[in-house]
Amino acid sequence: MKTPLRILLVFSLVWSLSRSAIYFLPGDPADFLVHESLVQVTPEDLRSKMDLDRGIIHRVFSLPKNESLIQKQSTTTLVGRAFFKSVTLTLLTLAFSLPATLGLLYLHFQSGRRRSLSHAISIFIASTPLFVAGPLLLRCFQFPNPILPALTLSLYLTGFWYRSLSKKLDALLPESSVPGARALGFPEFQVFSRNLLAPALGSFLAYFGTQLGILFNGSLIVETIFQWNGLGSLLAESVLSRDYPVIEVCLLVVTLLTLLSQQIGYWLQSLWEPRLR
Amino acid sequence: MGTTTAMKKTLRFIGAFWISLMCLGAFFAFFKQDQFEIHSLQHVLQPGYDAFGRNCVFLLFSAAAQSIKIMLPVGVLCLSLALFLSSFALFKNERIQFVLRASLDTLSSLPGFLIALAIGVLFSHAAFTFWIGSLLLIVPSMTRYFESLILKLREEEYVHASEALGARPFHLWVHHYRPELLRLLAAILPFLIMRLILLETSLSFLGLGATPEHETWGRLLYQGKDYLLEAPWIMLITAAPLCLTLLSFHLLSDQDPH
Repeated sequence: MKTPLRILLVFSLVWSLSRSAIYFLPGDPADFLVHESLVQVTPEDLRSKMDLDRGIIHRVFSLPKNESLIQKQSTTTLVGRAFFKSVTLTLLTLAFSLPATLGLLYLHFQSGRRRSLSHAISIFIASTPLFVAGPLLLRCFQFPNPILPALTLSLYLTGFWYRSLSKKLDALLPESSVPGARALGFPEFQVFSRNLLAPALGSFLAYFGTQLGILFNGSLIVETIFQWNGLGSLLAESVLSRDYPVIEVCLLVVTLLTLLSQQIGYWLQSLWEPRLR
Repeated sequence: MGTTTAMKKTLRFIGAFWISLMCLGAFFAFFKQDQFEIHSLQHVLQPGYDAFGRNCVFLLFSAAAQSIKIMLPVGVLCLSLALFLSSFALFKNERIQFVLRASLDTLSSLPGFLIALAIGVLFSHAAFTFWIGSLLLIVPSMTRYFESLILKLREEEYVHASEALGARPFHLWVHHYRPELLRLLAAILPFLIMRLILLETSLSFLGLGATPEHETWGRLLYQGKDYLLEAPWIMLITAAPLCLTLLSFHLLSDQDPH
């Protein structure tokens, strides 16, 4: 019961903040738009379009207008298109980074040079920020668009995830059944997957759920570099052009996605580990 | 095993050396800023010079000084806030614990980076973006680290014994919690610095972090992005030391459990 309540609380908080923030901005938003953005309408029309002619309470308890102030399109179409692109990028990134992380963790599980190699690779890729790796990959490779941004994001995430998860695995190792399974002569990959990864998979799933939110946040830089018009770049664009209805809807969608991905992570963890239910 | 430990020590030493070198350069640049940022029209976009005719290597140190100047107060504020919030874990009142947990959960559920971006730009104050981003992204995770340590220490026998002997909360804080918290702080400090560097450079790379009068590493990268084809050295001279600094902090954070 607490979880739906928490989601509702966070969502209503973000909703109220995004719908009321416009009143606390310095200057008149309508005047600013008319002067700075060269929109061919009167400030009165803009105020009406942004629901500013009514009180703050009415604005908080009403839905945003389904019309962009700058682009002559509905907010739903703009956000829907960006949402589809963001989800494509996220899924492709996961498809690259999950196997890479598991591969590095498998190398980490081995001793000697392989372990050092996985460590060195992870440190190297985790130390290369997205805005450095992105332009570099862009100059070196000629892949079609969703692949290169997904590759850039997954490179960074693989290093980051490996460094967090390898520590968790190291903590689990002494208490696990790995030494016994190794002594019985099972193949290394089987020992890794059955005796080490499977017991830890529940907490890993919850961790990945929380990381999806970071993926939605972090993809803004990649979207900007590769001009992939996802939710992040739509939000950045609309913030710069002060397209308030789009900003509000974008923030709500991103918050909802972050919350949902976290809950999906926890739900998968409870499916994997029934004692947590 | 011995070879690996020795190698790790050497790498850590190299990392510490690189960070010291950067800090030393930034220190000199901070006090001799006029000499480090000489504009020369003849050198505009010449190899080794930026779009304003400044020497990129000198500019790098000057930018490091500006970055430190911007990040230091934010880092101190984040740490103080995290320590303050986590100290609520000392109270055994369940309601206080619930409110603390719920606030932390709420803060970590928010898309901090995007919210900071929106607030910073809408209020027409670029510095806001970095401050709010740091508060939303760093404070909840740091508070969680400190809170979990305090909760763990609260159940230790020596803390119970001290309480039974009549020790006051202040005494407990100074003698039992503070040393452990400082140890944890030393371990997570490289992560905090890395996150601050990444946040500042990411926001400035998008043109929304530091203001143009603060020529930070992020601002240099922002400039380098615009001249990536005509003058790739601007990007290279800034990006390579940035990666090396992050690498050094990663190496420093690789402490053995003992």
